[in-house]
Amino acid sequence: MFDVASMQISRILPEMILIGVALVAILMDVILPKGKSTRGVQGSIVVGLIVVMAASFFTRENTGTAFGGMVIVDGFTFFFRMLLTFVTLLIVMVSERYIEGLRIRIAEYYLLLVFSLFGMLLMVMAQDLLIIFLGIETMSISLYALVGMSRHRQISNEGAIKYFLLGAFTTAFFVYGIALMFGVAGSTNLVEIANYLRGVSGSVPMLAWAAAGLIMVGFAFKAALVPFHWWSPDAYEGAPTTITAFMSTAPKAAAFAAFLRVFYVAFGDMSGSWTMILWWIAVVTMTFGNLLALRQNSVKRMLAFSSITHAGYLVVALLTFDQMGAAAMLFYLAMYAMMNIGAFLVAIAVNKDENEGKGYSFDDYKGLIWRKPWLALAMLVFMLALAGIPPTAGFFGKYYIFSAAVKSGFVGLAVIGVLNGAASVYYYLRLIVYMFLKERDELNESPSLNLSPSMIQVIALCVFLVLLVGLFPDLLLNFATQSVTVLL
Amino acid sequence: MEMTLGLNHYLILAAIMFCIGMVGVLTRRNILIIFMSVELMLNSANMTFIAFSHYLMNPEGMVFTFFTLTVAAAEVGVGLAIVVTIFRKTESLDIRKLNLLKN
Repeated sequence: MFDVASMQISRILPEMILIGVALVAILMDVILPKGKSTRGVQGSIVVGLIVVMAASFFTRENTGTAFGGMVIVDGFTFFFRMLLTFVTLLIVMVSERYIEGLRIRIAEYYLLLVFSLFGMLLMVMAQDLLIIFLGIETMSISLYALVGMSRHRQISNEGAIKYFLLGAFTTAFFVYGIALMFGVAGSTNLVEIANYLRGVSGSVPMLAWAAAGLIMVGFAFKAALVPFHWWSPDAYEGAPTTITAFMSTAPKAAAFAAFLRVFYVAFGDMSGSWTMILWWIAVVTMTFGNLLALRQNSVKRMLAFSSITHAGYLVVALLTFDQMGAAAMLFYLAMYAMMNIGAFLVAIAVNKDENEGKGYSFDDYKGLIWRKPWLALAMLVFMLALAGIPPTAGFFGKYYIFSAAVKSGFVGLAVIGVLNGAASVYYYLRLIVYMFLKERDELNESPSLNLSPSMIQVIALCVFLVLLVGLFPDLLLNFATQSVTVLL
Repeated sequence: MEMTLGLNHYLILAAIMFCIGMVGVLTRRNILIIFMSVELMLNSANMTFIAFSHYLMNPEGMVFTFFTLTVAAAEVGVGLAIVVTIFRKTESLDIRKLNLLKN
């Protein structure tokens, strides 16, 4: 009855390699002499993540379930494996100089990133609520520690404790939701839940509604949707900026991926009612994020709040409940990751004061074009992309999402979304005005920009991808469309 | 009339525990008490799992409970480490004193 071959272990090869990489990196930290261990750990993880990407690429044909239906490896999994690993790779590459400045012990930082990536990969291939729960927790527990990494800064501690308490709080909702769903459907497997709901269609018991609602709360928290967003500005500001860039992209993408899979596969038959709730969540998330971002005087906070708005656009894509919307969501997640990471990296390079309550001021950007023209031009591209102005990928991201919404009959929502997009142009353009039109302010200039060569490379890569996909959006859209066909 | 403990009794008790935990998180100021309230909520979920598991004759729910317990233990590990760093800085466990990050 029980044999190893039926578990199809080969299908999770990339994840096994990833854990191997983490173990090798731990050993490196212990074995190598003090001065060299940093480079060793970082180097081995960079190589390891590239191997993980290669392994997922070459095993992409090996699709199907594994571990008796607990996980499923399909095109959707493949898309997110590549995206999440790539984002983590970028963050690992650029972190070195920045976190040395923050006096963070090096090896743990990289290892926690890898463990968090492992959790996210579990989330995107889970076909059972148990695996999603384990994935979310593996990701989150690593992130709690990463947010609090710069221990000597109180702001970092505060961000970590708030993130941690609220995260544990919503985990309880999530687990309680799973428990109720288990009671109603008799299983935690997504396919079996779907079968059960199809069987009782029309008379879904109250308990199932409650369960779906509680599970939705759990996802909404991880994706920082209003009204479950309170933690995100604090955690984003308290965290080291590289981690902020990471948190606002990869875990958000993983949360939306799991959200998509659970609600499309398992709760598809209840879609009529949850789209109603998501409609409101989308509207308040977009609007509220914008209102808060408008008032910020710190670039880091502005980007943090605007990431709430972007999550709102993603919810619009989610609730269309069709292939076009899901593909638009994958497209947007991938490109948002590139532009947001790019923007945060420029912010790190320009920032001169990492102390509490200061730093990341708009004033630092005055006349940046005269001091660092390339950096200013890169920031220009990222700001235009975030604002959704052609010829950047951001424009097509929004275009696909809102046209999917119109096609599914959510015209009102699309209008609200476009208006919010227009409002967000204000604060993105404000930064551009500071960079290009304001007088250079000698007093405010940072003596040295903490740009490392790897950072320049990654910023250039992000600019390249944002412009490339902006000019040839079909490249990514076809890939995204292929990836979601398995869900619908 | 014979009184036996049925599934509903367990479910209602779990729901009450969950609500007590939730109120605790929302009203208490001490970080450790908030944390204990969260644990209470998690345990109410565990109880729901076990009750359903017994009632449905399906061991999956009990297995889930083991995972929840393990995850909660890991969470405590990281959480208490963060609490210790906070306490070293502020010498207080009052959540309201943490106001450097203003909303």
